[in-house]
Amino acid sequence: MMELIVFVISAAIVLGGALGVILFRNPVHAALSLIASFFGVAVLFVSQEAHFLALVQVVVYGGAIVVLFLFVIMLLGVDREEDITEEPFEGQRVSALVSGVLIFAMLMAGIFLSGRTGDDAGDFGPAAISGSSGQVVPLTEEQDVVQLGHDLFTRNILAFEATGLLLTIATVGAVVLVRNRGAEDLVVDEPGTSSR
Amino acid sequence: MSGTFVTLVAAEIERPSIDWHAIAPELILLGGGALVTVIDLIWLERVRKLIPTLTSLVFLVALIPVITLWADGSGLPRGLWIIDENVPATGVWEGAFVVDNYSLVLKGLFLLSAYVIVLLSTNYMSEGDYYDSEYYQLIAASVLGMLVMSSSRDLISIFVALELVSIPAYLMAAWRKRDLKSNEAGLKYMLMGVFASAILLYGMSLLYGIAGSTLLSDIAAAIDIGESRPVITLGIVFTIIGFGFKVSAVPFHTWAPDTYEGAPTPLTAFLAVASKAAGFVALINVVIVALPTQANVVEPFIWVLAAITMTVGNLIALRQTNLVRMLAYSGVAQAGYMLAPLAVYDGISDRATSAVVTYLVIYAAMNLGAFAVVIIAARKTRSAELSSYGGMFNYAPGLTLAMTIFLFSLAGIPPVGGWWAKFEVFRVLTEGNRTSGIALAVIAAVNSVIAAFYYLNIAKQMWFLPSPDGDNSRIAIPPALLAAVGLTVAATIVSGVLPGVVSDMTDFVNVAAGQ
Amino acid sequence: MAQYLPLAALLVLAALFAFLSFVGSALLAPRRSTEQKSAPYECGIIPGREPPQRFPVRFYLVAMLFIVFDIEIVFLYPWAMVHGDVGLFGLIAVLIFSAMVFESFVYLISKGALDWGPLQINQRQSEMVDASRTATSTIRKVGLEGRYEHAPAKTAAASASDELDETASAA
Repeated sequence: MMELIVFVISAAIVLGGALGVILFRNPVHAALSLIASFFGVAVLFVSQEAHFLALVQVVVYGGAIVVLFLFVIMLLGVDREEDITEEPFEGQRVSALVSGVLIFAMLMAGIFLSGRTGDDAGDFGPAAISGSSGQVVPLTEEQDVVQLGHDLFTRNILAFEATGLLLTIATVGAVVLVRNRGAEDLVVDEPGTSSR
Repeated sequence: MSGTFVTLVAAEIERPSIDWHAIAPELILLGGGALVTVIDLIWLERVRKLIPTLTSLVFLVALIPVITLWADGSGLPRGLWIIDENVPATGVWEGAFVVDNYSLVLKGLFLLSAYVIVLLSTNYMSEGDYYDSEYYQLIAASVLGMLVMSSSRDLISIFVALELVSIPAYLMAAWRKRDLKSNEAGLKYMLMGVFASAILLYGMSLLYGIAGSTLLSDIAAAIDIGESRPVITLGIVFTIIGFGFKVSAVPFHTWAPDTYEGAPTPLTAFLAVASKAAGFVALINVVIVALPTQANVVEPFIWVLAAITMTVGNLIALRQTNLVRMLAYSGVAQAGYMLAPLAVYDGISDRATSAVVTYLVIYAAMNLGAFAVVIIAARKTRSAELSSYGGMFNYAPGLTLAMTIFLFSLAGIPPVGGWWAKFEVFRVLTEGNRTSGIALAVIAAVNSVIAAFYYLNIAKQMWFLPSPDGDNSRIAIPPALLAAVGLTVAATIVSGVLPGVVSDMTDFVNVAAGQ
Repeated sequence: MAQYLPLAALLVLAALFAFLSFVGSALLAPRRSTEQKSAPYECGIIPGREPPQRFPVRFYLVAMLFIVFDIEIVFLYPWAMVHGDVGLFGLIAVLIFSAMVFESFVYLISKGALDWGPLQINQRQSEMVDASRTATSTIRKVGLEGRYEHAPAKTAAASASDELDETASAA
């Protein structure tokens, strides 16, 4: 019962935040609304006992990623409100709506036609899964972060190192895209100081 | 490693030792890339001219273990770990990283293509005001992603490898920072790529949710239930759509023409050949290894994708006047031919894989060659418009001949390489005598005829029409570009005249069972 | 259910406090606004020009770096929790990972991407801008008189860097 209440509340926060992102006119409000959505997801993680993921969700997504968004908004100018009444392309809104509804219908059909656990036994419940593959790591008393650590340093060691390389690439890419080569770096992009 | 050192905690995991030979190509590329970066960071401008040479050397050195692994075929397939029966919990160590003939051929393909790309890039990058040493570092990182991809048999490593391939490519597409078209290229490619990644992740999470494991072989076992379920179908379709973006299959191809046109031309060659091949590798891995029992879901979907990809790509290519855009759409159409064997893979997955990889190898040679000619011609004409190729036979007969070879190959005219690639595809399509396969073969045949029209139109322009501005001065071809054209011409001709060379390498056995 | 009661009480109290603070300050605070008070304040000097609407894109680097090292920490945390189990192997794996991320930091320093002052370590030698300029001699001289005669004759290789100079002198 309690789980259901938590789920309903946090799901409402997630969806409300997501709606806010696309409906707010001020981009800063949209970014803040995104934080609300991320927090809802974090609560959902907690209710699934994935505490480490909840922490990452708050620290990385709610913290760092949204800060990055806010930076971009600042770089582009805060006080310019987008005029969202005008469509960028002819018919874009309509096709977006239609495809959104279609995907939603597809997902709903997928979920409801696939037999929920309990209704007809032997379907895709956890029991059926572990029976079929035998590879499921059972939930133990270990903390989720310990499980994650073990997984990271056994099977996924290559992916882990590749992620380190990805982070380096992100830095190099940011430098390349942001800085200019050579001496003119200081005067090119600063409004007001340039004599242009 | 454990056991030889005093451990601090008694509960240390028993760990099999790493098979260093098996991951040597990746390690050399990673270490070599880091070394080149450090050299660049210490000596900066003084070694600027050396960086492309060093990077290409790293690619060639990484090729050595690929060859020795191939020669030492007895140990294949190998994994990341040397599995010892005495180590408990063996299942945790197996299967995520597989080195077999299939992945070795692809690693060789990726490294050699990367070498040619560096040859193509050297002059282009040093003559413009670009960040050039970073460019080569990003190429190396992207190629590393491709190597990991060819051995990945696990959803997590496939995804990380795919991002490692894509993210440097997003950056490099926007490399000509002062050009709005290049900015558009990078932005479009990144937005569509990230969108595709999101869809792919959704599909993967559904597959993981069904199977409870990210290992492809576990997924195959978990969904082997003799029927299809809506959730499985959703997971499969979303995953294939995600890869469809990467291989620019219609209707997920919309980024390709603008990105190809705006990006630096050597990078366009990289996207059209290596990056696309990496997408196909991921698709093959998932379809052949994880979904052998779900052919009734996968085959119709890929059938439709293949049919509309080749048709739409060719029809739009017919109307292009810019050669780079034309090659972009021709690449879309070629992706359709490459998808075709996967539309009939049920029961003949090894043959289908062989056909796709054969096509990838030959396509890499001929397409890289075509881009090399475009880059050389642009050094004189400063244009990629079709009309600017007029009269090329008068002032660059050798180059015209090379381009004709590539165009004939792309069109599939014997005796140069392309015909064998197409022949393999047709053979797989008609093998099972299934209506769907034969129908797709007919569609592919009609498309080949359409494609021949615009490929030969380029040749006609070069051989018979006068040059637009009457300027018949010769083109000075730098040695790096000359080497690139020489290599690709040789590969294109050899693969066509002696198709056995390619087909011996790509004659795979039991790709799906690689553990 | 009862064990969540303190939580609910705290929630109500927090909401109430926020609400009362706003209401209280709206009711009690004096409002005597003058033009001076609402003017932008810049160290006591009357601002000479409008503040820039857009920030230089270079600040984006700071945010990007923050994220990169943030994510590195996220990956270090699971290792810290299991470092006893994964032993020397795990230590080496984490060291390789950290070295790669640290390399990006070395990259930033070496390429001068974190230099905010006028000195550029990695600037290309140019006839136009004297590399020896310091923080006290960075006043840009506007105008082209006598500045272009030292420019080398254009070769194919040098034309690229000349283009950069041209855009600079056009500025």
